[in-house]
Amino acid sequence: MQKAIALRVNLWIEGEDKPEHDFADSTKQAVRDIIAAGVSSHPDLSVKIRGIVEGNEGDETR
Amino acid sequence: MSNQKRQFGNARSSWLIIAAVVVVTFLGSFLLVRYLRSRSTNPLKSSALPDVPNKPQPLLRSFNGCPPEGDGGDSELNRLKNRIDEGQYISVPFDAVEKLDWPNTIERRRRSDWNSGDTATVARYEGLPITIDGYLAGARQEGPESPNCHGADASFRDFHIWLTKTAAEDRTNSIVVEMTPAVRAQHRNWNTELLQRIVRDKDKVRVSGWLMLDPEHPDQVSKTRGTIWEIHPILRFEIEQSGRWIPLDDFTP
Repeated sequence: MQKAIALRVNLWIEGEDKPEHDFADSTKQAVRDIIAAGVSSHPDLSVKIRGIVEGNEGDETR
Repeated sequence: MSNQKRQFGNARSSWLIIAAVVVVTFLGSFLLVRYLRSRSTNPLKSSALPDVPNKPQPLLRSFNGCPPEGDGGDSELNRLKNRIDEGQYISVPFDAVEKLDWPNTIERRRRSDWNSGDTATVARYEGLPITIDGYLAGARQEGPESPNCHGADASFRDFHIWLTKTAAEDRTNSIVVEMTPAVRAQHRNWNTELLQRIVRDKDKVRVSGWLMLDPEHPDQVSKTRGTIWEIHPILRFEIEQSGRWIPLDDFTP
């Protein structure tokens, strides 16, 4: 049986960067690279990234 | 012959209907665009907020290596959030800000993408140094954000505070007021523990700072906030105690 699922993943990423450099931009690309690299260990799954957006720890809805 | 006439008549009716639909659609779109444009460029009017055409320019400095523009997002908005100058604060009623309108066309848009009408409309009141009295419905440390260069350390986080008109309200009709890292660094007693105690005890507070429009949270209006107008940053925070206003730095619950 073919199955599908949409997963929301909440990541916390830390790393060194220049103060003025766009950390959101570089980490989004890093996550894409990490997922792309990991997909090869699961050839039975087709994984598509539909979007990566910056979250906020202090989200108003909480 | 009569069949041919009927067919010709039917074809003519169809073309007339199509033409009518096209005209109505075109006219409707034209009127809708005109309406939206008029909404977005209507000057905001508030009888309770003063007109100050020449507002002070923000004083900006880097904070622990983080420039006022932050590390991404809307750099113009970040510069407003990161100003550190004091102003000649004007006391205004709570409703003057909570009921103040904004052009809906600016929502979720960077300032560089606003049209000149909207920019002028918002500029009429943005940058006013104001004071509002109220109560706190909540106070929380934010996560890492672009205005603070996504600094991981707690010293780089904003404090997000919900100001309400009366003591018994939730956040629904609140004004969001924010303490920023650069200003907090100048105050020994600005911490979330003390703010949460003020929330719990329903103390009356007086908040002074710069009026600013944050276009990023329109979806939260009437849910967790009453408006996207904010006091951001807060420069002074006082608590009423025995009929006197005590600065937060000197406040002992």
